[in-house]
Amino acid sequence: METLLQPNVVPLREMLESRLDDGEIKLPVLPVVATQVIAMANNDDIDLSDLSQLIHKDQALAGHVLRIANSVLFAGNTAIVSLQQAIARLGVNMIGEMATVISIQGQVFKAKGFGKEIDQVWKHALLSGFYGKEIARAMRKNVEAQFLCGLLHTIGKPILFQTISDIQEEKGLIPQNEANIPQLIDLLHPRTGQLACEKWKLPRQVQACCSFYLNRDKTSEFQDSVAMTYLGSRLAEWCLDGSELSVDTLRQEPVFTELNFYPDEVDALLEKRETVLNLMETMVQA
Amino acid sequence: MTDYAHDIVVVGSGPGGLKAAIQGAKAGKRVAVVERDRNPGGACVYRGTIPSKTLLEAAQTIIRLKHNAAVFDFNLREDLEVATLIQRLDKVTSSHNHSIRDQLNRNDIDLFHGRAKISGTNQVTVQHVDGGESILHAETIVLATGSRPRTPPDIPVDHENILDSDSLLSMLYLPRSLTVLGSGVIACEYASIFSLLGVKVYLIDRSERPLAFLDEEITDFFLQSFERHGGTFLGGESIQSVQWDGVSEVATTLASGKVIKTEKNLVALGRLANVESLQLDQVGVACGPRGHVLVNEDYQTSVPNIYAVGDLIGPPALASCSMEQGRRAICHALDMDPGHAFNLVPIGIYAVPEIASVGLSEQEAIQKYGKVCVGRARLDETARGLISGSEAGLLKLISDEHGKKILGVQIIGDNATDLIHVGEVALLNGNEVSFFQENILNFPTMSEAYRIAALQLLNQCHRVGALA
Repeated sequence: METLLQPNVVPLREMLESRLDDGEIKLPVLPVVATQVIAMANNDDIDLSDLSQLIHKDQALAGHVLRIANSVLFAGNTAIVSLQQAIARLGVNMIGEMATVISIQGQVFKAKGFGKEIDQVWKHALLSGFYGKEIARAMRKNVEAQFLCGLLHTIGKPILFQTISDIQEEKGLIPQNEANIPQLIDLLHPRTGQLACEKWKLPRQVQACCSFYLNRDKTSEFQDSVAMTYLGSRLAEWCLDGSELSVDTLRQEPVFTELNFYPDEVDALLEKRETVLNLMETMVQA
Repeated sequence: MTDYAHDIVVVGSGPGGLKAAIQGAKAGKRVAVVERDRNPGGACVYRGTIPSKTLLEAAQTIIRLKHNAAVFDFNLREDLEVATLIQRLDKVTSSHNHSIRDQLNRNDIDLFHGRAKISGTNQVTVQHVDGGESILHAETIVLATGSRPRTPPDIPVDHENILDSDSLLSMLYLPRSLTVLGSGVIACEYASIFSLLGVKVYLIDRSERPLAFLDEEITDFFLQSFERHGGTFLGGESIQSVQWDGVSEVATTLASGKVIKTEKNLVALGRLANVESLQLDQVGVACGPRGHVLVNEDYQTSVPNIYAVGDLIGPPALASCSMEQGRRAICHALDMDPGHAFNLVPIGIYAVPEIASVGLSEQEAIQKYGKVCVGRARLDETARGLISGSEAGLLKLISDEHGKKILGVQIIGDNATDLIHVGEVALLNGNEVSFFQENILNFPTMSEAYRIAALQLLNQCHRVGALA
């Protein structure tokens, strides 16, 4: 990876690595809603009205949630006009999931000058989360944990885009669409993601997936979850518009064997593509 | 496709399959083992016995720390991750995996990773995970494919809100509340462990008491402990429906009209034999009405050179028995003497508290012999129990009406599953009750409970004898 980098990007790499080493990278604050929703599974004090109130505090977030709840995928015969109604119809988990997704997108997935890149990373993260659930279900593992792992496994990428944007503003050094920036992001995002997870005190399973999904042999725990996250990530890549990943190449992924997916089980997983894409589109369009 | 020739092919590498394979190899035969999963060991290692016991160990540590809160200033963290509770599991399963592979290597046993189909009376077709196939030929085939959780068709297990024992332990956090359907071993183990961990647990079953095959006094004791830790048992209840309410809870509606709402629901309504992919009907291996493979006393199926052992053949479905069944199946196939038939099976239930049983329960003994004598010892009142601050526990020694022949031992309490072996050996050796009175046991130990129970039993018999 290192040898592929163009010389003109190396200073940027040095700057990013130095910020990572010195802990000077600006990590966004995990949105309150996301923190609360993640903690909710474990907190006796939060009930339906708490979640509703929490979302109400952020009008833009409330509007987003209601738009998704009224989308073709989720809406029933009657229009959903309130958050309480949305929660009653779709459930705390689904509304919490929506709120987490939207708030993370709003506060973390942003970087001046990198709109297109961020958009792709965001779609990929959503697809990874939804495909992660399908993989977990097929393996008789708990699906809610895997959604979070998929959604957040590339959380380091938007943070790095933002950092590059900051550096650019501060120093005026880097051309905005430098061709090798994506390589740099690919190289450094697991480490950045790990820092964010630590700061946000996310569950150890999520931390392991962020840090090791590209280096599965390096993790000593949560091996299955890390491998599922990698597979979800690859399946998400395959789902994205303009993907160069063919289904035949995808089928050759050793991770299928690693997770003990037999050919008929691989087929069943690939057939979930439309379902997963529909969920992602719904979230993105709202 | 490649063909391989062996003397014995064992399908499944759980406790029964592994023991059969090693027994065959020790007898000088060429043995192959086919395993569907990535690693050998079976559900026992990765989804059943070992994970649940690792969680139990964590729960027991918590109880000990709670008892010594003054020393350790201990409080259970509110955001405790399930993974933290079973963080040793990866190490335990990995060590076990290495140990099994080592045993297979040492005995020159070939391991094939794939799904097996019995394609002939002497032939097993293996579909590998990459889609390739191998054909294995053998004189003897041993089926040991184990079992999986049974999901009744009307209960929508989604592994998110409604779980089975496979997906339960991959929850991110401990739930606030949990309904457990069933009252067998798996249901009671998880219900009592989660209850101890502070989860509000409802245990629901159609039978009037949990673990109905056990001594009634022992199950009463179990229920008292379960309820003391905050659990609720609803016996004699039929389940009408189980539904995720679409909001925040799983609603379990009972025929009596009660509706129990909890955050998660565990379906533990028995297990199903893994027979489907074997396609046994093609070679004429007969199965019973509940899907178990039918075998004779030598574990032969209806096709004489095909044997079946373990969960596949139904109760008692214990890892310990499966091992012995595997050994005996091979002994029969190779015309070797397997030794005396085993008719004494100790049962270990890794609940909180632990439960163990060997021989007859008090009710079974009365049914068989009419009059019996029973001696009891409270484990928490032994010197060792007092020192270690044990939870309440009970050891019951059951004998004939003369206070001589030991008929059974029933234990509930700390280390019951180990402690039972003293009673098992006494039963196997034909020792009388007085054996525990006349011989020396270490002091202070939990085993001392045997002596206490024996003394009580003998006193009781003498009193009855004097009055008569």
